[in-house]
Amino acid sequence: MSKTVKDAIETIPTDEINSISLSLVRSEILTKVIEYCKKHNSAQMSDVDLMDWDVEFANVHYTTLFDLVLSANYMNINCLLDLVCGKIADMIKGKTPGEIAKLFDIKDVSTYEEDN
Amino acid sequence: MRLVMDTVEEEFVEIPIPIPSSTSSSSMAKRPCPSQNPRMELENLLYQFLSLSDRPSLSLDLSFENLLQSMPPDTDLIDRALKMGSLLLDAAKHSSRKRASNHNSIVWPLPPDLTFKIFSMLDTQSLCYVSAACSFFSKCAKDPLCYENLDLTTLVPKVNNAVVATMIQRAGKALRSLKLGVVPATACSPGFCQPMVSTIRKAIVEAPNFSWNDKRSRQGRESSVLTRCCLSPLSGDGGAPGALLRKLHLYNIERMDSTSLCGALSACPSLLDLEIVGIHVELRQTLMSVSANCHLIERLFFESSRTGRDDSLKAQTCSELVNNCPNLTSLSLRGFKLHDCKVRILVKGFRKLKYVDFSSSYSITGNFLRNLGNCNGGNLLEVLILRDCMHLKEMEVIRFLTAILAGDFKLLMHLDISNREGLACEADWYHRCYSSNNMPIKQVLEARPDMRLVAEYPSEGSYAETFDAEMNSDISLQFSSPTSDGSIFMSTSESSYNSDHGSGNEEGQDAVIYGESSDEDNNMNL
Repeated sequence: MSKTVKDAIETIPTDEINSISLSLVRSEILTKVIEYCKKHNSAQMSDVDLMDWDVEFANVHYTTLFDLVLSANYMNINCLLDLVCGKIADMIKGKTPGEIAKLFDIKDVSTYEEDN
Repeated sequence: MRLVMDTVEEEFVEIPIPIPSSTSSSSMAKRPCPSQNPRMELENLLYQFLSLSDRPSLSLDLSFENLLQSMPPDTDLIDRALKMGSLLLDAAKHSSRKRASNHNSIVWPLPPDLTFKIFSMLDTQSLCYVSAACSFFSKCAKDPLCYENLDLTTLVPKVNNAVVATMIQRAGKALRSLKLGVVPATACSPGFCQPMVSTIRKAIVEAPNFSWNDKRSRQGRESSVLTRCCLSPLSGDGGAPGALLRKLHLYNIERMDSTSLCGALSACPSLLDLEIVGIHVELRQTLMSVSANCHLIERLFFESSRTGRDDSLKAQTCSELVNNCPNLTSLSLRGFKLHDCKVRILVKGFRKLKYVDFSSSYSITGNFLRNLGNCNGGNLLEVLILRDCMHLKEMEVIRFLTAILAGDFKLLMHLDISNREGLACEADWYHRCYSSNNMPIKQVLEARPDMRLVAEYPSEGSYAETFDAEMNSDISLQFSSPTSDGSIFMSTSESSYNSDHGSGNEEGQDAVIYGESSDEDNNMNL
């Protein structure tokens, strides 16, 4: 499921693999990613149940969602990336600018011009 | 990737000046002794000055005035004060913004490309709101990828030309789908009977704070109405926005006419999915424009704004459409005057046609279905909807069902021949057949358990009330065509049919029967 891991496996000869470096992924996030991959590969659940499970899975604090996005992006797992990005998008939908700023603790930088 | 900065630790230098106990939260830490470095000297002076703000009895204006009086009269002290004050203010604001921006980059750790991804999943209004939340979002929200799929449909008229133009411009050549117009919420519920046009007027008038008078009185000033040129930005910028547009859905844009629509279509050579509902355009002209410009089209959904009053379609238009648009798989022409001969050209001619919906059309009797199953164009049909076709004859339906029983139309999955006023009897269309007893429906259902057959008729004498009740309690009308995005099709079964629609002349025009018909057909008289 993870293209990064897949590429790593494919490029390195099998008997030389001891570990694949995933240095940018924290352990607790990696746990969740593995949980996701296992669930989606098991093919035991129906599509509808899997969707419900996905909803439950993504029902976490947005800081965890950010970590998941970055990890899924790094590990190149497109379906997880879409799921989590969609969840963040859902959090934004229907809110006014003030509410969005408040939700993510974003400060108003209204007239800031990019120097760099 | 954007760098996430650690919180910068402020370094302060200690100076030998007694400072009253500070009540501010950011306490001034110790600074080492000032060196001879002039920059450090300036920072020290600045620090000293700023630490004055802690003094409880500070009256800067008084001190300044006193200083001024002790200076010679031609002093430029005031100018200096103004200049330095302004510089300090700007510096403080700039640093404040910089820190806020750094703070934001911590609380929103996603790089621009992932932010685009999230923003591209937002509906257009949320996109506008999010871009107003902070400048980083504003920049990200301007990326063309966020505007790939524009959904500017609203419940009441709210979007005007300027909004459309801005959005299309932002999308540029990334634009892939555009939905525009007025779609009332009630129209989206399944089983809904009323045609969209009248419902919209009703919804608009009942919407709070809306008044038609307001719109008119604001002419010349900013209005919330889309005019006929609302799609001209598609042709702008060398035609870039329209060039790769795949999907165009237009709903109830009052002021759009055939010319402007055809102009828009000429800018969209890559169009795959065209949906037009409640727009005052002529069927023939629109199909000609599609024929001429949109050769890749796969889905055409056309619902008339004047149910039953558009009789512009010509056989030649149908032939041209068939020749120029071979990829069409889904065809819906609802609420038009359609003759069997012309419809037959379409259904036979499109080699890949799978989904057909001619609901609420009149003049077609079902004759076009004869001998369709065993030749090109007919045997690929998966969905056939002929709901509320006033002239659909029971006899033709029986024929069709018999053909199915005989093994034709093997791929047909969904057939809808319901009619809120029953089917037309043979001799006189004004007489209706209400029961499905004559039709081999049970046999078809047994022979083809995979098929969904919808045949709802009112019991004799009762019309709309029973029909509505049936609609709500029975099988829902939700169906998605293979290439659509799952939008719900509702039937427009309001009968605005007058008795003068079914004249003898129209019946006569259906008398042409095509080549491979059997002897039996040749003997049939309509």
